[in-house]
Amino acid sequence: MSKIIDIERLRFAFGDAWVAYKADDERDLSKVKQGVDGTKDADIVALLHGAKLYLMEVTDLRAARIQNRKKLLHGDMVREFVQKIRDTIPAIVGAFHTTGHKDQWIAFMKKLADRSEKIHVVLWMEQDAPRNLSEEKKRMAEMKTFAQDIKTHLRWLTPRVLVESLQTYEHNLPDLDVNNLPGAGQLSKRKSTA
Amino acid sequence: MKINTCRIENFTVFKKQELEFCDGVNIIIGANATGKSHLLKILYAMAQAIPGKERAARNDADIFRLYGMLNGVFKPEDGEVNTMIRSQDRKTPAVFHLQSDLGQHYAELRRDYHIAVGNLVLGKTEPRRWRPSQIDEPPGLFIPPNEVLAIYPGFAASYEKRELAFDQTYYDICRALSAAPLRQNNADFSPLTLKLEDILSGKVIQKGDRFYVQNKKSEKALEAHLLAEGHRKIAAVVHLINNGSIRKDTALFWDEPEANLNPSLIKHIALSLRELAKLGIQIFIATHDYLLTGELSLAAEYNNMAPQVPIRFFAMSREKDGPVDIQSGNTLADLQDNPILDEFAAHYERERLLFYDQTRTESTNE
Repeated sequence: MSKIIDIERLRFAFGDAWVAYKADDERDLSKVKQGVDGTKDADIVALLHGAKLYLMEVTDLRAARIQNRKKLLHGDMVREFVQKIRDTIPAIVGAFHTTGHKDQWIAFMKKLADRSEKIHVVLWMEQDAPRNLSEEKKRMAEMKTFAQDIKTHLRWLTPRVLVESLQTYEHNLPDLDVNNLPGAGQLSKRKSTA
Repeated sequence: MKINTCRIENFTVFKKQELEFCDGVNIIIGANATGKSHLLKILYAMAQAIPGKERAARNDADIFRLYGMLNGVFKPEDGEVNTMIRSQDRKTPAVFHLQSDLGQHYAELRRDYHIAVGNLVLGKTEPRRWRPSQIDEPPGLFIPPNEVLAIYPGFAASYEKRELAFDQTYYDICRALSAAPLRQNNADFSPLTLKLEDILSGKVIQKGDRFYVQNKKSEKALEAHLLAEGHRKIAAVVHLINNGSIRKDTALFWDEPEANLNPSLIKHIALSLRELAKLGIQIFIATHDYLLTGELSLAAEYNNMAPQVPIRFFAMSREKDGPVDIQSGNTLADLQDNPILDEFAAHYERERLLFYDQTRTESTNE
């Protein structure tokens, strides 16, 4: 049975292979925010096959494009994203230590503490559809730079980093469908054209 | 001089190409073997070979200078540039046509060694009868991909004795470097040379046939060959400005300025190119560098990026063994084919696929 999580204007449908939580809906995860002002965490924490830890964040640049574009170019977006990933780590630890139902979080904790495991960090970044092939390639190059920047800032975590969007996602993650919420961004879905 | 247009027919990768250049920075991109360096060298050879305003009278020397220049810059293995004509037909000529502020310049070259310039058919050239051109005030300057300060001592003399396999662009730049700095620096260029000297942390000085960078504080002079290769390239440019080889109205051809430069220096090179263009130098570069093309494209896109100069991009592409196709645009985004961007995009695509492939593999193993 799939679990539906809506973030901004995206709908994530996690299948049975996943245990996924929307961070804002989990009181255990939000305890860390009560301690320090300005603490934020990633939108989704999830385990694939009970074994692979995923931290996902959604940024929808389709609204307020110019303002968000500035944030993107000035590096503010990388900083925000990295801070959210950073703050999600103590949020999971805090949830495990203080919750009444430890079983919910023990698998997450084990993955955090296992040096042989890679933590998967995924940024879903939605932008208006590229106007032409050249802009599409430029965006791919930008995503490469962006992912590299995130890796550099998160090198203490040694994660695998992916910057993804609906433009390029083709159900590549097992048992995970991602779509626009009804009424949002139908015009933005555009496949590559030669 | 300012080159406005050129037409090249039936020579190496060029079947028939007409290009319109801007007065500022012209950036040529393309994968390997698409003819970027060939284009720079043809333009350079023609710029050097055509009679200048002060040498309007054409004579044999002017005519054979083009032949000699083409032979010199391409240095084909069998010694004759005629073999680089695309068509096998002996009668179909390679055509070179250049429109510049000095006038129109036209030359034909045939496999049977006939050469014609303008309306004048000059009959047969004599194979191997050429010598490196020696022009007092050459209208063009070619900076080759490899830096030359380290090989400079004794280079020109060895080249003239035909002891070296380098092409003529290396000889020409060594000759340009041999000139002593002008007694009075051109004040317009001082802000640029000061910036470049800041990168080098010193002044470029010449003693005999050797170059040094003299630290501004300690005044200790470091020999050129002990400098980082990227710094040697910058030092050469500083000296060429200081001795007037790069001056207003020079056509500057720079093949792969990014070669051996640390990425942190690329923005300085991009800015220097624009500043040189602002000072009246027409620039042609061939490059593979994402950062350099990106910086120059930004300058074309944002008019708050000073100095503002005309910028034009040319993307060269070709099918295997086919003729080259060239697109042009005012920004990188205007180009349909951009092999540099393509490779960056493809690189990230490979990373995405690896991410997902690893996920699938690990999921299967669980």
